[in-house]
Amino acid sequence: MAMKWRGPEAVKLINMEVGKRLDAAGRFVRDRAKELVSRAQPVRIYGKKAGRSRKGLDPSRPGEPPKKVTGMLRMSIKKEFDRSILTVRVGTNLAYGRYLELGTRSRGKGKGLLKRPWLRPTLVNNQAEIRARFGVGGKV
Amino acid sequence: MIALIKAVRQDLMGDGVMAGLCTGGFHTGRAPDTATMPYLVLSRLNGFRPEYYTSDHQVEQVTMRFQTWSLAAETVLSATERVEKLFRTTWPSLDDGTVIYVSKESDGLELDPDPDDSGNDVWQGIIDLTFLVQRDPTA
Repeated sequence: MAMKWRGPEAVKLINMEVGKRLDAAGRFVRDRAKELVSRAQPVRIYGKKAGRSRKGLDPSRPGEPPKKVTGMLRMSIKKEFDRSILTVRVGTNLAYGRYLELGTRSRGKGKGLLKRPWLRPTLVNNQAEIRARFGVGGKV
Repeated sequence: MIALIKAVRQDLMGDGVMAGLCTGGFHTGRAPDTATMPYLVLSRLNGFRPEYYTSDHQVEQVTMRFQTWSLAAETVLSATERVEKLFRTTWPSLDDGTVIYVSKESDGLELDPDPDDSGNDVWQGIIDLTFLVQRDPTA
């Protein structure tokens, strides 16, 4: 019986499956992150052009995920999947998303932003589900 | 995991290089409003669960964030590198357990949104280290 080495085909199939699962995990994390920053609060609208300037009247406490004011952060959370290096990234391109996650410097008289992490808790709180998407029989 | 935070803080304060880099001191949780740069802020993060079952062995995973603030990006980078070197080569010794592994979760350099009072850029260096700690059953 002749045996044929099909290594490259096997690697391709494995990478395809890993990619599919990784992409699914990325979508899952993105959606959970969006959920986390979706808590509503009363909002006051300032200025002549309605909607131009908004202020949340019941903001989140430090350490909690931020509450929604305009919905820009939620809208900006995206997933990027790079098949060539089998990597998925979830995040925002809004600078204040980072400031909320990490906090900013104390500047005296209560100035500076205390952190209100939303991205890391998404990962920490959903570890089991994220791993399940990689495991045998994981739902894609 | 107060013992770990104390041990980490002690190691930072006892290190001459870190003391030289962070002349504004080492703070836990958040720096006071009066803190002068460069300084380091140490905080505990909600950690990921270990990937294996560890409760029989009293093993915990603790992630700590080291944030350095300075007007000079070089200082921030040096402090971040020093923190990594300090804790990944020599693990802290605890009263109530043993550190059995230290790994780097992430690091980064960020520009703070607000300049200082003179209008200079302020840099923030971040490094997250995960400590695997085995508690001493007799402690």
